[in-house]
Amino acid sequence: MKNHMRIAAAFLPVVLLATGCRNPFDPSCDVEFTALIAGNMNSVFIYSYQIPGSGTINFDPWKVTAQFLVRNKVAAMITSILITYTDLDGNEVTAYKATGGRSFRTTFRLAPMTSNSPASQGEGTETTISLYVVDKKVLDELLSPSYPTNKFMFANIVFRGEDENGYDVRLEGRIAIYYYQ
Amino acid sequence: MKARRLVPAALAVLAVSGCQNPFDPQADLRLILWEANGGLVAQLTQALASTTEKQNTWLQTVKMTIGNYSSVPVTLTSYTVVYRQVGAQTGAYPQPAGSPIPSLGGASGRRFPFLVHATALTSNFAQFSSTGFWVRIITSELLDYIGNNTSTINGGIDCEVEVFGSDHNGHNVSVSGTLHVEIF
Repeated sequence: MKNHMRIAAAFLPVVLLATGCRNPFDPSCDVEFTALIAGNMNSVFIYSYQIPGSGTINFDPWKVTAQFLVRNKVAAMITSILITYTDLDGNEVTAYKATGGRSFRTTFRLAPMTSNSPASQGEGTETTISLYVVDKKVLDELLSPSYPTNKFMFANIVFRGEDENGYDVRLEGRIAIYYYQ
Repeated sequence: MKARRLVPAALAVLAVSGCQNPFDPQADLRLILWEANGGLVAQLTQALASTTEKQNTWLQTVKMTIGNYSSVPVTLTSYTVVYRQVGAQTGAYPQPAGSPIPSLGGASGRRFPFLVHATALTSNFAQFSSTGFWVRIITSELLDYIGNNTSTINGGIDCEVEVFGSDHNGHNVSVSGTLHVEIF
């Protein structure tokens, strides 16, 4: 009987791993990248009248908010962000293509759930991060006469970090940028 | 012995009859509502499409509302749009009425990425869980096409939209519908 219990105990982690379940004694952060929002919409749109001929450009209208939902009690720390830009055909564009995208380090904590109550926690604990996805180099590319006339650009955003139990975290989402000339 | 045979038989019956596996349910999404500047349709003016209407956010705003009839949430990641001209296409490459517009991607249309969380039912008290989001169907190139083609006035353009994603149980899901663009 004891042997059976030992075999079962040894077998359990293998089954957990094979089925993709989290180890209940050492769980990883159950985080979902739920939304990318720009100005209450689901895409970034730039109008030519918003870009002054000279002087300071206000990038706030094109700011993107990333939303995350942590659905267990393990927090995660985002430590770097990578944004790559492509055109409609999937070719990497902007001056950032020379460096494999626009990469920067940061520190941002995705807060975990603090209770098991669905009434107070909903589907999980939500955290948002704001990013300036459109910058001067992106505008220069879209405004360039050589850029495709459809003026579509797509930003691929990757958040990387580690949860508080030491597991790697990688979250990826894409958003479209439309320029109206 | 009989019970052992019954379990696989029950699973086979579920699969054949199209029922959902109760231990691995799939999200059930349906399109509930279109909203655009003309109520249930979008309305554009052909003569102004490639000029003043290009700088008008309100004219270009299109909202889709979907209902999730299941308790499985969904992450929506992209949508495709196929533009069909209701009337015949004239010009250098004439097409019969109802054909996809070649310069707007033809039959495969355009695919745009986005990231939207479609909520799920959390109790038995609602019929479905509603999620509204904005799809940018009226693009700069569509406005240019309308502005350059007076034939679009004859019936307008139908935009066939299909939204793709995956539910939290790992199934691929999609929901589709058509928005009509009236052109004056």
